[in-house]
Amino acid sequence: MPPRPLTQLTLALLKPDLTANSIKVNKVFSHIQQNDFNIVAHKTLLWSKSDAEAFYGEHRGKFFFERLCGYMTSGHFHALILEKPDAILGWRALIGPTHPPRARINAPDTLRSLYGMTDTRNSFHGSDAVDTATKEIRFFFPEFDLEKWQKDQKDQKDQQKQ
Amino acid sequence: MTLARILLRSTLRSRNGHCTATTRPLLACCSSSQFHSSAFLEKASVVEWGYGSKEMNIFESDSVIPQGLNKTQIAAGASHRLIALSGESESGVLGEGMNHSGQLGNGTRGDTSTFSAIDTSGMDVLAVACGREHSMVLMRPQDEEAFYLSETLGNEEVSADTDSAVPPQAGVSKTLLFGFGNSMYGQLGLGGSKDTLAKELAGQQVAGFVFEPSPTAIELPDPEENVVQVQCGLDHTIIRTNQGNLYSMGWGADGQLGLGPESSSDRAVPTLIERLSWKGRGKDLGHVKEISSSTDFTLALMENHQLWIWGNAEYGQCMVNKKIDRILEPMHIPHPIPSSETIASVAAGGTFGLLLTQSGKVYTCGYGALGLRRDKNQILMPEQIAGLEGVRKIVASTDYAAAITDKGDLYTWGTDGKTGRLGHGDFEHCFEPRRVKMPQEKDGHKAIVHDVALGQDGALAIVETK
Repeated sequence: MPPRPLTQLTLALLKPDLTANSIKVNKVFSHIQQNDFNIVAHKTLLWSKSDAEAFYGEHRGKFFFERLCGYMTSGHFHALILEKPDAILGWRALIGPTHPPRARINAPDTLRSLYGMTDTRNSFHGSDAVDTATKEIRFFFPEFDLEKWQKDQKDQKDQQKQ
Repeated sequence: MTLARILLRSTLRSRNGHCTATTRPLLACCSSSQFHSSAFLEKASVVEWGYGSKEMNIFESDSVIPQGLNKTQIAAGASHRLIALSGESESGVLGEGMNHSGQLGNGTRGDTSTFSAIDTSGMDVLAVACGREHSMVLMRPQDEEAFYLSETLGNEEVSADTDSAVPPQAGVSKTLLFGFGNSMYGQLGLGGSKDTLAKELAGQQVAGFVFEPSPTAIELPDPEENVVQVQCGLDHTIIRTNQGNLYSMGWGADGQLGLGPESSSDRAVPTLIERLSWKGRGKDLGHVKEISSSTDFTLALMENHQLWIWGNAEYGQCMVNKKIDRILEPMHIPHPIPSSETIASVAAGGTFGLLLTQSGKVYTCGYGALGLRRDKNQILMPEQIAGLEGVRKIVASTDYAAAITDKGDLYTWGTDGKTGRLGHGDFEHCFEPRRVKMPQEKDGHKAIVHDVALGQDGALAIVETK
């Protein structure tokens, strides 16, 4: 039996404009399954202003900070922990370029092209690196035992070496 | 699609809580196959396309549409659409699509695509408008005295405060603006938003969902003013009144509300746009003739043909040869097309804006499948769209646009995104204007398009068949 490939976790968000349309949400979940992502954890949230400002604190002072927080507090949204080999890059490739109007022309098969609305209402988030994925998973899923998951991965790796 | 009789309890509500409720079969829809065998030929219908389908649907309402082509009003939002129909004996606003925030106005919310109807008997619907998840209906009582009398009599809780039941001055036809659906940003102008909700709860930062699923009357600061035009952006609303004033409400982070250089906060009640309003600093500018907003910016055309813009302009849709992240106060655009051309109408999309000239030409500016060429997706000054002549009406949505010619031909162009919203029977982007073939044409009939409404996922047209 070939060794099971080691997987990675990433944090994905289906943002409020998308969440408002259950038909589109269902289609996005189909995309997630068809692309072999395992949904490790899933919750629906509604943020207050202070919640949004805490998550996007590093962008404070930028011209888009206000609209980003305004958008993310405009309705319920989905937070997901996705698992797959190279999940971080894989999810970012699936959602596509940041700006949906550009994605429609330059990357028409990506999720932001198909379901994104505008630059601000870009409908999806994906962690951009291992350390941000860790940070974001802890932010949204403090109850998730990330250390245990990482230890299991390490044990599996060690077993495969032997 | 099967024939569906709409039988729904619906209400029109004013802010004092007074309700009138009726239950009756109101409107019907049928498929194109039923259309052909009926007596509807040589009459008007509403044609719908998009929403993930390559097919077109024809809506008929046998007692309503043929009587008043110009009484039919259409609007489309992100995932819902409204059709206002008025007949001799009954009138209503048919809603279809998602109702997550109550944007169909039938008093309920739900997470499936559905049909509904609002009874508007006794009212002429002058306009409907849809934002991302909110709706506006502008109405005028057909018989004002009777309407206001019934309002008073029907209200069991008549108090000393009868202001709302006082009929307007004789000869002045008072319009009523109703809003329903999502108001997280305050876009309904009813005083509530996620910000006011947080304040109500003792200043605590708590999250709550703000919606109004029943049509509710919106009050302007001056009750004497009459609303004559309403436009919905995705999450904001702009109102134009008969006294030359503009009001805005909803999301303001990108300057969508046009309230001033220091103001980008949301507003939950109609708020005067000082810069362009007659009772503000706009007195020297003349009256606003027309406003257009679909996404995050607004174009305003003055009666003297001057052009103004506010809101998001990061794709150069501001027509001043540069990109501007956000324009917080209405900015004058120096005449951006040849001086021989006069601007007759404007249409604000998402990443682009359109201008219609008195000579029937169309100019575009900004980003997207602009209608120019496949390789020309970004321009900072307007260019004329080739192949469009004799145009009498232009409409723009977030990602695509439409033009109707004097002959009644409809052209669309823009990006598709597997919605079918361009009406070309496929899911392809269209980089140059292409005529939309109406389903009635299959039988050799001539289809004359009178109006078109573009939503983010699909579109509606009022089509006369000859």
